[in-house]
Amino acid sequence: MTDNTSQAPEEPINNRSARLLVARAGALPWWAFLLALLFVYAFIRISTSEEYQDILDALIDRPSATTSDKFDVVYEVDTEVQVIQEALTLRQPDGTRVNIDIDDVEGREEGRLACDRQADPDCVDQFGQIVTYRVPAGDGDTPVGTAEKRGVLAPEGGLFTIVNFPNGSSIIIDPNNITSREEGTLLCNHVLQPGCQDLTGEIVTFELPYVLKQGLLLREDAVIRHPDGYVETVRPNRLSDVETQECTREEIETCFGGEYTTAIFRERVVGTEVTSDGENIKVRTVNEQTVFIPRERIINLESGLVECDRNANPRCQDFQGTIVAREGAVTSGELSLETNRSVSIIPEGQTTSVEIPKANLIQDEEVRSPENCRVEDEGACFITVKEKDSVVAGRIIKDTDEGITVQTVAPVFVELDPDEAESTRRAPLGCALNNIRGCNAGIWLTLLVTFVAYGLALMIGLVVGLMRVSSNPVIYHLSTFYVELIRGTPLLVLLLFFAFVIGPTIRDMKPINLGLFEFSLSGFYAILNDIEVAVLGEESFLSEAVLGLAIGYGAFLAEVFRAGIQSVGRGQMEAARSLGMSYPQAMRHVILPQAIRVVLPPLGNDFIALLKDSALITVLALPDLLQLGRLYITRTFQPIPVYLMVSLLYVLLTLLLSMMVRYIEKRFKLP
Amino acid sequence: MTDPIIMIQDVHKFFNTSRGKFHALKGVSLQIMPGEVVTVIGPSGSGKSTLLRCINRLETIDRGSITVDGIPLSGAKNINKVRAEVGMVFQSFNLFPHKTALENLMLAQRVVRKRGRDEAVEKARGLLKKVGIHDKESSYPSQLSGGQQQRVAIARALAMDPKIMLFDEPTSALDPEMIKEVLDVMLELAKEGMTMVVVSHEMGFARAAADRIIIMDEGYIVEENVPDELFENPKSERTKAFLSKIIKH
Ligand SMILES: Nc1ncnc2c1ncn2[C@@H]1O[C@H](COP(=O)(O)OP(=O)(O)O)[C@@H](O)[C@H]1O
Ligand SMILES: [Mg+2]
Repeated sequence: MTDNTSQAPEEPINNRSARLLVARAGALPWWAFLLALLFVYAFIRISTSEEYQDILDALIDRPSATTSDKFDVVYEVDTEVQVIQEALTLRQPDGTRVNIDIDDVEGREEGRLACDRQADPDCVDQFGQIVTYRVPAGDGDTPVGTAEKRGVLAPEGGLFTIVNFPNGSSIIIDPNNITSREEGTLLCNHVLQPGCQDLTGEIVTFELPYVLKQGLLLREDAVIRHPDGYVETVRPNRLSDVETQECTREEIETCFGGEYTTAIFRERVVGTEVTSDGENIKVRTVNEQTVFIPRERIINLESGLVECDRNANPRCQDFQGTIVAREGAVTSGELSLETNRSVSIIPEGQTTSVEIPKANLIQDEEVRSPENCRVEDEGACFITVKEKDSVVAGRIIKDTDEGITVQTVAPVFVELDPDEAESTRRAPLGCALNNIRGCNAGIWLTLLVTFVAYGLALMIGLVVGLMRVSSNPVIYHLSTFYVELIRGTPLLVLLLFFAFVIGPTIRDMKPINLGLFEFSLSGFYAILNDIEVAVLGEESFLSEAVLGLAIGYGAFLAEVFRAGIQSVGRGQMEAARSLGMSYPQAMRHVILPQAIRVVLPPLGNDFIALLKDSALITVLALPDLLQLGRLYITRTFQPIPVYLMVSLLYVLLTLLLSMMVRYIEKRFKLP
Repeated sequence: MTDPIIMIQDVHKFFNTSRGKFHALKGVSLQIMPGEVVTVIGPSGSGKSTLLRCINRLETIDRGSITVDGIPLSGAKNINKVRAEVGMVFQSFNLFPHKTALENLMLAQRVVRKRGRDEAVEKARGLLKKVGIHDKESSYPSQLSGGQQQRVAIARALAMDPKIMLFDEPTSALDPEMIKEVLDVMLELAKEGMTMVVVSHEMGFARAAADRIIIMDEGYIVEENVPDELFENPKSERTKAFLSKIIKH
């Protein structure tokens, strides 16, 4: 056979295939030509229109050739930090807040905090964690105990014994309560209180009577100092291995109160993975920001101290750089939107608008034509605005004849040894040929969700379909219940139910103890979350959406499989059993292979239906084809071309997939 | 004296139907010796197929007992083992349409007998040759004639090396010109000493090969005898009436 065709001369084959093509085309229905015409039209429109290409780019998340931004990463690294303070914020019964030191805590318990109705008649009791803490007894109080404190005795003077503390406060004590005296220095916490003074003199240790108070726990904080000097407030539960040792200021500059407390802090390094040379991974935690200033707009250029942007990077340091005075830019074009705060202008020759805050504009220099025109007016309103002069501070990183480029925020890189990371999460970033995992939006997400949900639905359908032909009444009724329940629920409702009822329920479920081992659905939820992060880069409703679609379609497919199995004659099962095969063996080798062939066409139909129904996941804010289209509309206010394009892409996908389905059907067809 | 290979004692079978219970077998007793060929005849609906299907427990019985090759069926732990020893040939062939002739013969060998691929192929080829269709081994059932299909079905049963072969009207779905090729295979088997229970109205086969003929009617065995005796002077009226009907054919 093959020999024959390869030996035949070129011409006849071409002729033959051409004739075949004509013959095939003749067999096509009339609407196929209409569809083809539509595609040709769409193709011409798309290939000639920039607007449509923009839309297409947005919808399919078009891959670029290469990208260096491959992954968003979250590494968790353990660092040893100094614990400077641990404090609780409490709500007192009268409604006011108070910060207390962790050392003053006497006890904690879950419970109710009765509110003070004398202070506030309308107040409501609060439930939560109630903290009991010590407060120095006042004049009228009856103390319930005493706590040991240390302070420096103020120079003798007068009737009272006054004790000073390094934080600047002082109290009057009863000299009888002093238990010991020594000469020395009390160290102050200059990190929390810059400029405070260490106290030298006679240090006294004394018993301070206290009373107990209660408050509702609002927040728990720990102030920690990183090895590089950066101080931040974190949740104490991220600290472990807390250890305290004695210290002096001569040994350690950040020794406070004679004690030095360290802890292991699990720090998150969040950023974009730039390179990974096998050993170290370079993570860009802060993106660089640059401003280009054309030469003609430079008014003045001088060196000076650049205050770094602590919003972008809390750990950054001010540096010596360049400060550029820049003349305000002039923008003119069509006014597209105007609010109290800003104007949006489509500059001449461009398609997208730029938004300029009104605060940056020089009001007197604004020109409109027609005069005083507004967006609502009929016809276009052209506007020319001039921005105020401004100052740009940073480092000059490029200096050309056209102008200079100033880096206002420097990129921050962190080098990590992956072996030191306690945990790693990588979320794909740019869609590119060298980073296929980054292709996770638009058409790709629609396809991904469709294929995965369909795969799961096939498994569910097969299992439930087999249960539906079982002679065991329990199995039969269980599967029938599932099928009827799910088929009676709209898919949209099912999706919302999974996202907002089943998801949270599983997440918050306590582990179930089955005696031998603990079974935890919340662990399952965590795994799904990890998958979501791996796929989409963030926790989302992706798994809920896929499971909802799979379970919804599983019910349909179960009925398809049941019908398929029942369509295979009884004689087949009997023949297989009479040869000594068990029921599962007969199912697997004889019944199912035949049933599958019978159900391939309906399975294919359901596959295409699922592709279209996958658009429902848009309600769960997943960036699928439809969702990207809708987002594009909110940016451009152009529903017509976008929805045209969205529909076209769905039609194209279903056509491709039905071709695939038909091919598979042909492959499996029996002679 | 050897023991019977099939012992059927006072077997009753009820079917649940929409009109209540249907009594299909009403106390059937029968003993078949190894190597014996027994032909079962009787009017349609008399319970012939049911009896046959009870022997390899495609139907379960409600009363009485059946013992095959010394194993009581009602208590048989692994009925699949018994079934592998009892080959069955159906009126409608029941070949596996998604498998070629060769694969039809190989499947149960591989799955049930756990034979290796080469061994199964060799065995299958030998049997296809024996039933005279070795040139069609890669044809699918739909590409074979009825007679060829039934011969493949016989070969498929033989591939399991059964001790007993059950035939349920193996030729009644065939065109007349194909009946002979199937009967020839069965005659050959009978000559080789296979124990066979054949439900068939082919009197030629019965005369040539059967050691005994059983007549069934309405769930009872009404008569049994050696072929010549039975044909020459049937005892019961029912047998006479029935024989006159089928011999006219
Ligand atoms: N699965 C079944 N359910 C109900 N009735 C059955 C079933 N199989 C057979 N029967 C009935 O049992 C009787 C005997 O059937 P069968 O053994 O097939 O007769 P035949 O002698 O024609 O082979 C028939 O009346 C038939 O209707
Ligand atoms: Mg019958």
